[in-house]
Order: sequence, then structure tokens, then C-alpha cells
Amino acid sequence: MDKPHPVVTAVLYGLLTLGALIALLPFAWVLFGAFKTQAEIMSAPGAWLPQNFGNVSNFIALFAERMFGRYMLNSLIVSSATVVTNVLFATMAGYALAKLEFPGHKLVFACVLTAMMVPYIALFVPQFFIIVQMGLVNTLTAIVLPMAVMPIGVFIMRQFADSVPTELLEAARIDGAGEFAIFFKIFLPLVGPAMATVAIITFLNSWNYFLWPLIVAQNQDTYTLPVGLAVASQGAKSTDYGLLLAGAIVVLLPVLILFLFLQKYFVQGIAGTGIK
Amino acid sequence: MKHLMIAAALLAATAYATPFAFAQSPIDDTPATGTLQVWIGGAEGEKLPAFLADFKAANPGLDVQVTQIPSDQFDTKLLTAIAAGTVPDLVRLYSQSQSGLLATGAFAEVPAGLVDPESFFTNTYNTTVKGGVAYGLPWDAYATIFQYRKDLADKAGLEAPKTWDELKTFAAAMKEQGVEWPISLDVGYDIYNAQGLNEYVHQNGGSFINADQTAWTINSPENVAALEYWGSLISEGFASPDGPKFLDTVPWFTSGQIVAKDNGPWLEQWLVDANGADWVKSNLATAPVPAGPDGSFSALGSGSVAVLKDAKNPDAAWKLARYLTEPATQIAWYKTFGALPAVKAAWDDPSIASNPLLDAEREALQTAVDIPQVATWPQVGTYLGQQMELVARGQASAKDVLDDVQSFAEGAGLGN
Repeated sequence: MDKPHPVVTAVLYGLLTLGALIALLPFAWVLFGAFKTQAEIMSAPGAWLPQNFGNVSNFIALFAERMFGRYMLNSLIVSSATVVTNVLFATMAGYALAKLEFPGHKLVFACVLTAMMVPYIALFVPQFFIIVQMGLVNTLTAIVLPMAVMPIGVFIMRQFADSVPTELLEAARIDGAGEFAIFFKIFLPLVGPAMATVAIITFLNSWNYFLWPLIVAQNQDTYTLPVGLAVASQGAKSTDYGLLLAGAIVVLLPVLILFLFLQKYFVQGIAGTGIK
Repeated sequence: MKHLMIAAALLAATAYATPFAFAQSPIDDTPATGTLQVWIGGAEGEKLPAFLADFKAANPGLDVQVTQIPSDQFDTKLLTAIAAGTVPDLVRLYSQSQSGLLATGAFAEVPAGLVDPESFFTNTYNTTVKGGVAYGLPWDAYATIFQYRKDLADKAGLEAPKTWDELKTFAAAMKEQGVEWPISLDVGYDIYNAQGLNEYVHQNGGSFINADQTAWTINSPENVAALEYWGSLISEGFASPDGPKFLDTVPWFTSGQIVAKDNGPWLEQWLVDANGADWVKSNLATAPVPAGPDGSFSALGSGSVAVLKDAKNPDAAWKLARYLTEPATQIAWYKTFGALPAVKAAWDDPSIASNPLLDAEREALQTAVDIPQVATWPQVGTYLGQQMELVARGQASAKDVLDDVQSFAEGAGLGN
């Protein structure tokens, strides 16, 4: 293929840069806003840049007065636990559904697909009843449990497991490997990218999950970051926008760091599954 | 939709639960003991624990646990808790959104003799009264008032308009001064638009619902005429259908793009935040909302504290509720948080009585009108607010819109 004319390239890059700038503008506003005082945000016409980038009072207030340290710890615990359980169990389920013959495996897969189609809000009250019966109200365990195996993860792993050659697994079986050895030593190393995809999707879901953690928590010690952010931003008679924006940055930061490290898998995961 | 599903599940869940009736025992004056769980939305929860220092000192055997809940999800969380039986003892209710919660029947009656109902603004007290029984105590009260740019009005030699006709004269004179949109109306703000229209409707002798709250009367001739008047403020060029949107109110008001708005008393603090107290002192004035043929009626907003039937410590909960509605506590809370007292006597305190901007507010609270306290109001009000936009943009007549909303409301029922 011929190289495009330099002018065409220049125009394309120009347009892309413009598009990127437009997409980034709201984020820039959030970032700048985090360093503004309430008066600066409410004043007209609002300036783009804060008067003083050294004004980190919003961030200090979040951690010193609004328990953000606690919320962040809770969020990290919940998200890590969810990622571990989802990756492990979804991979196992995906392997079983794709590679093992057992009675009713089509039915099980159908159940997984059906579960994906039920709006989560419909399960809310029954789920909460179960949690109450288990005596787990107001625990982080109760936040993790309903998300411990998400059907979407099982679906992704099952589709990916299908592409692993069955011959490879059979060869191991002939060589005398047990089912667990095949799973951990042969299968797992081959499905790394899919596991990363599931891990990322799960992390994003559980990191941003708002309603369920709010329902389960009975006091603020068990709030996660999104719940804490919703509470902290509410000032007397109006929203405290400085706090809200600073909080948004705090919530966003771990995801951003994760993205920088796992960029390749993010793109692969979204392109490969068509799900984001 | 979310609320509907939870409500449906809730009904199913409570169907088999036998209601447990507590004997009404009077609340005595001994110190409360045990643990008291309080759920409260918004920023109030941030200030409340420290504010309760005196109450805690007077009740040393009591452990008060205050949990802040994000306001916009408060109903969802409480509905789920009611369904599962994991309720707190005392919660904060908002008159605008409480009807769905009260309809669950999960709240306890206010014990006889706990407070004097006469000590509250009557309309405010009535926001939690159902079938003659009170299920909560008003904690704070708001009414919309006519707020305008005093400096610009003075320059044009104008007084605050007292009637619908004067409002148009006021606006026309401001337009001559070069103000593009003298009056600010909310358009595209859903249920809040409907709440705003409720003012005009009552000013014109109408109501969205009949007196005993058993039938919708949305398309009554009085209401149609009220919506026509509202629409004429836009069609005659006195207000824009495109703004200011909620957050733009302060900058538009500051720059003089708009000069008047029916708004709650919080606007003063917003303007202080943005422009400083001196600016507010010389540029902001308030007055009762312009009267229609039937008088001047503001939109009422109120917050109550209520105790759950399944509360584990109702005695302590009612003692706290009683404490919060004592005049001295109400004044202290006003000074701490800025929430205006629901108890009339508290308004005589110099901190409130000496603020001229609150004179109109005090007057407005005597007659301010509540939204229909029925469980389907959130759906009906939201739909009405959306359809009002058709009138604002000249795409439908007031009559057609209200006929349509009436049939929508009849379909939705009352939900009680």
C-alpha cells in the first residue's frame, strides 16, 4: 500500500488531536476544579485554571475529615477480593463449560447467559434478604459475595477456552496428568490474556460499584470510595464541588494507574469481547 | 423504575409479615439509654455528631450512631432496609420525596403529648400527617420567595412586583434597561418544574389534587390558566426556556443576565459564596412571590425526623426528635448549618429576625403550599415537569398538556 500524502497525514493527525482535546477537556476541568475553592467554582464567569495549584485543601479535607483513607482501604479490599474470586472461579467454570463433558453442561451455560440478562436491580431485595439471613449485613464480605463470580466473566472465559486446542489437554491426560494438573499447568498459562480481561472488567465494575455497597453498609466504616464520595461532596445547602472534584480524582487515580500498566490488555479485552 | 421494582419487592416481602403494634407509651423526661441509630442524608450528617454534644451530655448512657447516606439514594437504601427489617431508629425525611416511604406504613406514630403541633408552621407540620395521624416532626422549613437584584431595580425605579400583572410590568421595564431575560423560570428540570408550577396553580385558586388527596385535578380550568400565565412569561420574552439551568443561576444572577427568580432562601448563601457578603447586602432583595388572583403562595420544602415502627430504641429516638425540635436547638442548628427552623418561636431569635432577607421567607412559610403527598407524585410530577417544556417552547397548549398529564396521573393512580 502506498504511503498517504503527508498533507493527508497532517490533516488526520490534526483532527485526531482535536478530538482527543475535546474528549480530555472535561477531565481537565475536573482536575483543575479539584484545586479550586468553592467561591472560585461558583463565581462568574468561571476561570479555567485555579488561582493557586498549591491549594490542596480539598484533598486534605477528604483524608483528614472525610475518612477517605478508610473508604479507599475498603475499596481496595473489595476490589482485590472480587478480582481474585472472579478470575479463579470464572476460569474454572469457563474451562469446565468449554472442555469437560458432563450431564447438563449446556443447561449450566444457558443459566449463565440468562443470569447476564437479568437486570441487577431486580435481584437487589432478595440478595439483601439473603445477606441479612446470613448475618453479614455491614461487612465487606457482603459487598464481595454477590459479585464473587460474575456471569460475564464465565462467558468470556468459556468463549476463550473454546479456542484452546483440545488435543493439547488430551495429550496431557494421556501422559497421566490429573484434571487439576491439566487446568493449572496446561490450561492456565494459555489463557493469560483472557484472565487479564476478566480481571480488568471485574476491577472496574467493583471499583465503581455504588448502590449495593451503599445498601449493605450500615455505617460509614464499611463505605467504599464511590459511596464515600457521594456523601462527602454534599455541603450545606449545596454540593461542595471542590471536594467532589478532588474526590473524583482520588477515585479515578488507581484506575488510571492500572490502565497505564495494563493498557495492552484493556484494548485487547474490549476489542476481543466487544464489551466494555 | 428502580424505585418501582424495589417497592414491588417490598410489598411482596411485607405481605406475610404481621404488623406488630406497639402500645403508645408517653415519652418521659428521663435520660435515654442504649444505642441510637440515625440515618441522615447529605451534609447534615457531617455536622450532626458534633452538634449533638449537648444531647449526649444530657444522656450519658446513650450511644448515638449517625450514618450519612447520599441524599439521592436515601429512599432506595431505606426501602431495602424496611423490606429486610434492618432499619435504623430515626431517619431524616424530605417532604418532596417522602410520600413513597410513608406509603410503606413502616413509620411509627408520633406519641401523644410529645410536642405541641401548634408550635410548628401548620403546613410544615401537615407534610407528615396522613389520615389525621402525624408520622414525623418537622425539623426545618423552606418556602420559595421572590429574589431580585435590588441595585438594578432601584436604578430603574422599580419596587418588587406584588401581583402577576406587576410582575410583567417589572419585567418589561427591566427589558427596557437592556436585561435580556428579566425573570428566570426553571425549564427542563422535571419534578422541580412541577413543584414550581404548584405555586402558580395555588396563586390562581387551583390545585393538582383535591382537598382530601383522593383524586387528581391536574387539568382544572384554574390550573390551565396558571400554566398559560407561566408560559406567557416565556412567549412574551420575559424569560428564556433555555436557562439558566440549575447551576448557572448564580453566574447569570451575578452578571445581571437575569434579575429575578422564585427560589429558596439558600440562594443568599450561594451568592455570598460566589460574590461575598457585601455584594449580597447591596444587590439582593427578597419579597413574597407575586400574587395571582387567589393570593401569594410559595412552594414549600420541609424536612422531618421520623421514627421507624421496627426501631430497636424508639424511646431514645423520640427523645432525640423532641430535642431537635425545641426552639433553642432549632436556633443552634440554624447557626450551625443554616437550616431554617420549622418551629415558629425560633424565628424570633435575633440571628433570624435581624436578617431582612428572611422577612419575606417568614411570611411565605405561613401559607406555602406542599406538593401532593401521594406515593405516585414522583412519577406524575416528573412527567408534568417534562410536559411543561412543550408549553415553554410553544409546541403545545396548556390545556392539551394538562389533559395529557391528567390522564397519565389517573393511570398512575395515587399509590397509597
